[in-house]
Amino acid sequence: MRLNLLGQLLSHLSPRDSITSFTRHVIFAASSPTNVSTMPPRLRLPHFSAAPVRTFTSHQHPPAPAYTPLESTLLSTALQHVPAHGFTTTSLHLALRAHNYPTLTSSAFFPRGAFSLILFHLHQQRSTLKDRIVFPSSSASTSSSDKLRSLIKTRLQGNVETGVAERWGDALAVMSLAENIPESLRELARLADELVYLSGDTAVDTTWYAQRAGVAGVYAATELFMTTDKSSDYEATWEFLDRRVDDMEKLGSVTEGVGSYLAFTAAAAGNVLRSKNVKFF
Amino acid sequence: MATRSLYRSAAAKRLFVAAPRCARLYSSGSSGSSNSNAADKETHFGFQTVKESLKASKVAEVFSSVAASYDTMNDVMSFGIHRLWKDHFVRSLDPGRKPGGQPLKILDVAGGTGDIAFRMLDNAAKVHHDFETSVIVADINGDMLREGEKRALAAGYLPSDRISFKVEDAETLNTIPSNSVDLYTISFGIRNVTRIQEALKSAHRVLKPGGVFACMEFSKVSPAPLDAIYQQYSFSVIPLMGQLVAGDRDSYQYLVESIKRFPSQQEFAQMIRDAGFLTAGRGYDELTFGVASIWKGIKPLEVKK
Ligand SMILES: C[S@@+](CC[C@H](N)C(=O)[O-])C[C@H]1O[C@@H](n2cnc3c(N)ncnc32)[C@H](O)[C@@H]1O
Repeated sequence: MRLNLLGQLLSHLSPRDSITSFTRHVIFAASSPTNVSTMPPRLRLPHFSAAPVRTFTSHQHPPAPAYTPLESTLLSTALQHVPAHGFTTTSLHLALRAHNYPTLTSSAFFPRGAFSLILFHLHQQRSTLKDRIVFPSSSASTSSSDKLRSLIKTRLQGNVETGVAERWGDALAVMSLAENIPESLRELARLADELVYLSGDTAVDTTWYAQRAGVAGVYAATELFMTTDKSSDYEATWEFLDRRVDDMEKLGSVTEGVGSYLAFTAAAAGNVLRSKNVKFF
Repeated sequence: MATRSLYRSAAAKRLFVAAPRCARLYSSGSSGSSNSNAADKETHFGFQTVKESLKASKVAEVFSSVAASYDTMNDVMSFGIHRLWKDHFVRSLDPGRKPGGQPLKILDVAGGTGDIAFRMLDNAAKVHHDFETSVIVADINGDMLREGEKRALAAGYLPSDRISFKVEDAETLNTIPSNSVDLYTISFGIRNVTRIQEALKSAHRVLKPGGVFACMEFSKVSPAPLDAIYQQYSFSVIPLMGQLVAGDRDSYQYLVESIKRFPSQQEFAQMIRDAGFLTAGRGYDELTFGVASIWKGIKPLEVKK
């Protein structure tokens, strides 16, 4: 089970071939406009075509399901209801009503229900991370693992700032339902890509898999720890994060994190379902 | 399931023999109206190419001949799981009056024997304690509607204002006022319609802004190896089963061919957008490897010209 999940994650992380980062950069730069124009209109993300082409990392995966302006509006409003109502269809319904759409439209706008809302949050957080990150002033001399530490912290603080941190345990439970696992892992892989890219690490060699899996592992373990952290301002979480990053530096990789993360989330899903009298395991 | 449908088929066959083949009677009106602007165009009826004006009456003939043995046909066509699909379809829409909302006006087009309509009324009543939400079952074929009416009476939905039956062509929906419907459903009906884009336009017309279009239809199976098996099944086994359980090979042959001719999931989703609907993501969800799919669209609040 654990190995299998790890395998799935690695398959999302793996570069498709062994061309160098430079060629990949050029190829994607050349091919992305074509991709954009052949996409259905609703999939075109204005900022996708406008964004300067960086390195291959940000194009490693097909563009995440993008959102039309209306979808973004509705989902942003729904997110504002999450602190009070959780990642639930209630939050989605409240958003629809606020924008004069009947709640009957819920399954047409959000075919995956609460999971649609979770994915939107993940997408928002990931795509705005590059604008929110502020590295310590002596940036040039900061090591990439220090940057990684700041990046993961900034990303997780996004959950606190948007008021969803208290609800994140439920979100993880929904993410680990069988039908949602593939997309959840894909999103974790995209985040790992982004974290590695923003930390300035451009290595393309045999450490490629280990490094991304390691980053995904550190992130996942810390996010999980955070759901049970009762310390003020999540101090215990940031300490936990420090230790995981140190471990990664010492050991080269921390792949166990992903395994325990998914094992835990599966168990958490079991608990949520049991509490609703649904038989799971 | 095999034993059950074979068991039922004996009764169905008897009913079927008794069912009048009076298709022309009911289709003449509608095919007459579609004649006017499509006098000599050709369309496909299964794999036969026929004059557009004839397709409606041919389709009517198929459904007149299967009206009474209709459940058997569905079981054969869907491996017996069409009931689960229909349950899922209705549950995902969750029709009924929500707290602070109004009862709904639902139009179930190509509603035939009322399968979808009854489920929607049940959902409204059981989940939302709503006995005011109402469904109009519209179908081009009077035989199918009469069978539906019979069932509605037997199940206690009639007499009441909750359900009514109307002979209507999906392409025109002549007697349904514009902007009058909250939810438009069409289940296993759209592929029988001659001009699908016209039907989508009419759906858009009758829906209120913010109203929902929902369509369930047989679709393309993937991945390829499964598709090969499915094609084999549908082209050889289904017509044979039709022969065996309903004594009507031709109608089943037509059904199989009409499924094959129906646009792909993506193409149909694009047609829905072209008719002016909003869709989320790719616009459809597949059931059982794509043997059937559900497409949903929303009529925007401000209609852009
Ligand atoms: C396979 S049945 C579907 C019945 C029911 N909705 C269900 O899901 O079981 C197809 C129905 O479409 C109807 N139909 C075919 N062409 C039509 C049209 N142009 N307008 C309205 N109904 C049509 C047929 O009469 C038939 O009742």
